[in-house]
Amino acid sequence: MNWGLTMNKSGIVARRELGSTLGRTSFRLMTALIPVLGLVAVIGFLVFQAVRSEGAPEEKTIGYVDATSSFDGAFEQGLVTFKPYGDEAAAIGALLDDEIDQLYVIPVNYLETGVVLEVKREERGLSIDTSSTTTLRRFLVDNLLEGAVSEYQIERVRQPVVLATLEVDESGAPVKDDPLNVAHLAFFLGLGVLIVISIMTSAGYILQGLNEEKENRIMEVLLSSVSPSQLMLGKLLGLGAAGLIQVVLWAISGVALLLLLGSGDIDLPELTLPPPVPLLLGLAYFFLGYALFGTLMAALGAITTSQRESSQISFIVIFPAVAPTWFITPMLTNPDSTLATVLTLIPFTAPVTALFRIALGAIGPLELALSMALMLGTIFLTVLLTQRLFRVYLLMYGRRPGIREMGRTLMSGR
Amino acid sequence: MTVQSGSVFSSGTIAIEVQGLWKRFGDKDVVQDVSLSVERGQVVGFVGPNGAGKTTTIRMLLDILKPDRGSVHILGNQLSAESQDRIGYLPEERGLYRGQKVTDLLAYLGMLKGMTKEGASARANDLLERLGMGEHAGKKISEMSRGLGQLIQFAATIIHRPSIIVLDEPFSGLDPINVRLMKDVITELRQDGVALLFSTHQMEQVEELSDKVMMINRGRVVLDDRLADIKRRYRGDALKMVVDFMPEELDGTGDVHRDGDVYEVRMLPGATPEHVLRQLLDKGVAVERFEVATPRMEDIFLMLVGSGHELGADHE
Repeated sequence: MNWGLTMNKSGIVARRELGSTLGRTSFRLMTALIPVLGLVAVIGFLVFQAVRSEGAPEEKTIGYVDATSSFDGAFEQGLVTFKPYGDEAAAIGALLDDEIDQLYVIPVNYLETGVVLEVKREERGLSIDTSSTTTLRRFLVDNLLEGAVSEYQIERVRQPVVLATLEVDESGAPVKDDPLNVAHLAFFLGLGVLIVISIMTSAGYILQGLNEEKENRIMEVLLSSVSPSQLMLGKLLGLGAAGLIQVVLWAISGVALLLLLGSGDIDLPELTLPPPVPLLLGLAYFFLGYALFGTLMAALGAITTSQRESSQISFIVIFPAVAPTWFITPMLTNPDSTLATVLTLIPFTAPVTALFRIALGAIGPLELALSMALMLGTIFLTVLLTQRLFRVYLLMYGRRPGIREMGRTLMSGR
Repeated sequence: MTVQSGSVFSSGTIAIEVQGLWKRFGDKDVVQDVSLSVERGQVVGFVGPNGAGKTTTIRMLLDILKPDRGSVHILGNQLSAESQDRIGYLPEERGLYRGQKVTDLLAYLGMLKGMTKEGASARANDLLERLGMGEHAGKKISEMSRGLGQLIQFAATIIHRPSIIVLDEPFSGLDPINVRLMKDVITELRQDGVALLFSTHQMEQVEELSDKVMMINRGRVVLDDRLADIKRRYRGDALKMVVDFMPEELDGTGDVHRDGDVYEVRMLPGATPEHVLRQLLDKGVAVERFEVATPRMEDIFLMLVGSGHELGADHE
């Protein structure tokens, strides 16, 4: 094979595919739609936050009627002040006159039942719960225990458990403390999501492009100038680049939206890139995953007869790509499990699974090497078989080959 | 402007050399032991009934399909990606990217044949002018009529100045003016030494354009010769003549039919045209016209492949 000629012709096909895809109205709309929806969501959230913060007064007065005569201290609870009333009528009057924001009645049998009555104005329309049970609980605990037990005991009654963990290895020695970087975990999870999105968009364009060329009968003209493998490589590169541009634009807009979100009262983890080795490994799986699933989509495009038919059966390819996301919880809790290892070694589920495990630092070099070797081998085999399907079925119009017929083609290569 | 062919691989006269080509689909041998050759500057008509194996043969000599057996040599070299660039191909099932501009599309297809972008664009504009379509250069394909689309496809076939051109039903869908235009261009290309192989069901086009005819039926070659030799070989036993009167007795002749001024006289086995003509002259008949009736290609086609085949579109 003349590799210079192959790359040259594939490059020409790739440039055309990239140019025509970027020029498509549907591509531009789709590229713009996701950030616009994200922007609408962020703006909506910020507006909701602003409205909520406006609606919650910083300082609050809560009135109460104490029939037990036990709650006569600890009036100041942060920004909330508790104000006692001698009888319910005076307290209700204060509530109606807006002297107090809320009113509680502590009945005489409170110690036996724990019941506290909240008196509220009649509300019309949507009822928003503005009760302050946390503050009320602290007020009650403080009054019940003050003077009877120490400050620390009061604090432990308020918050009995602050759980800390210590991991030990097989010898019983503590494992080196290496806290999980939430931002890095989010990065790799995001990369996994991008793989799935890339497969659905770029590979979808491959399907669409091939079906269009079959339907408008230009395929035979193309195949008299380029080989099926050159055509396939060109399409993978060009449409892959278009898909990559799309997800990069989405990623940039995602970061911009996060920064916009951070401008509100939301605490976000510091945005930093992961260390170089995991980052490179993650990117390697990203590209290997695209190559594998893009080639599979190209094979689907070769054997299907219309865009409608191909989109109906494209789930065959999408299914294994997204399958690992169903096991996120067990993999996060036990990233060394047999399930995680098996999913890492199966080439079709490896890209997303490996990204999760790289993020958790739960994948060894041997397993990594084996997983990548299996993926490369599968990609090689898939490209080889797809070339055979391309050669035979790209010029077959209006009829989808049967399983046995395809089997013969794949075996014979003719 | 003339439509020139490009540089060639070797200086030999054979442009396409196919030997013993076989292709099987499933349990059916679609092409069986097909051999053919096309010389530079020669036009070969490639004919056969539907499903005879024409398109499959063409796809194999273009490297679109791989043969099970046999060899293809292009310009003296074994078929390769490089030699593919020396061939221009107009398939029967043809289409274009409807959303693309005419010159951009031609430039793209030229680049796929090894041209530079600038060279392909310039050549595209020249060709469009030559085909009388200069005003459409900047338009989108979707704005073109079917006939104009055909001409654009023909331009795409020759944009890279190929040494070999393969045309599958080149005149279908064209009006008489554009048929004449395309024939003129084909004649120019032949004069420039380009080898042309064209497949068609229109036998009158074969007779008009071909130097040589190759006919296949059920995947096998049933005829492969120069047009003149074929006509000579399949010359019938009929004589056509315009005479002032027809004698009642003519030795060596059988049925006589009259169609206007023309008599068609069937010769009996062993008789020769010279013997019949001599008798006419000896009997004092004034002979205005005397010819041996040559069969039309359509007659030969029907004779060789039977009359049960429809001369319609090919779907192999």
